[in-house]
Amino acid sequence: MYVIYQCYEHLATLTIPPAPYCTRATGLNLWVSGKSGPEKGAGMDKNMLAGLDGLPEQDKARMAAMIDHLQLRDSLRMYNSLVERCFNDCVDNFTRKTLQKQEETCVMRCAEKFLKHSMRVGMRFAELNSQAATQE
Amino acid sequence: MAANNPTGVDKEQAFGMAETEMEYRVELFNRLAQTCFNKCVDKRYKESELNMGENSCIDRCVSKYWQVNSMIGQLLSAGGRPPM
Repeated sequence: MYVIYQCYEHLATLTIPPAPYCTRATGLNLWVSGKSGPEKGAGMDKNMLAGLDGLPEQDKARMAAMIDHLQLRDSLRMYNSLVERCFNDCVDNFTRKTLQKQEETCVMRCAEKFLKHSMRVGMRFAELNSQAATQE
Repeated sequence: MAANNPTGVDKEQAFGMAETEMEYRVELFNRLAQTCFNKCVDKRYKESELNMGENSCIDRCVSKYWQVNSMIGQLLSAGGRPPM
């Protein structure tokens, strides 16, 4: 559970690149790799992504850089939208400057739920993607 | 597009297309995730886990969204451009 919060601290300090478990949560990794199960191991081998195997080194590197860029942008976008979502859903009371206990709990649950949801959607998305790819 | 030994221009086009396609996929994923979250998850956040009902709803939502996406894709590629 707390892995997820570490992920957002990571993003908050803008350490680049995001840790593997963070990018996993965005699902970009999942669809690009075509995997549908939970990720094992520390990170994603860029050469496995998007069928890069056949390309010359230079092109592989360029594609890998493109993917990195997209992943980072997507992670940051997700961060912002998650904050906005949980704020809108959980915080209504402005009689105090600091969050109340119940608001804090709500925000934690909201964030965790969304991340779990996002991972599940990512799995299904990857399945559908690879189905569609084999049908073409 | 020359597959084995692309010229400079072809390659650039190919990279551009690949980037555009990837951005489209990311956007699709993000919209899908947000839409299905809005439709399936109770905003009262009683717990941090997804319950069975929410899980099924999410799976079905993703499947249906995907079908809608394909339908519209086919419609746009067959029927052509929207009227100006």
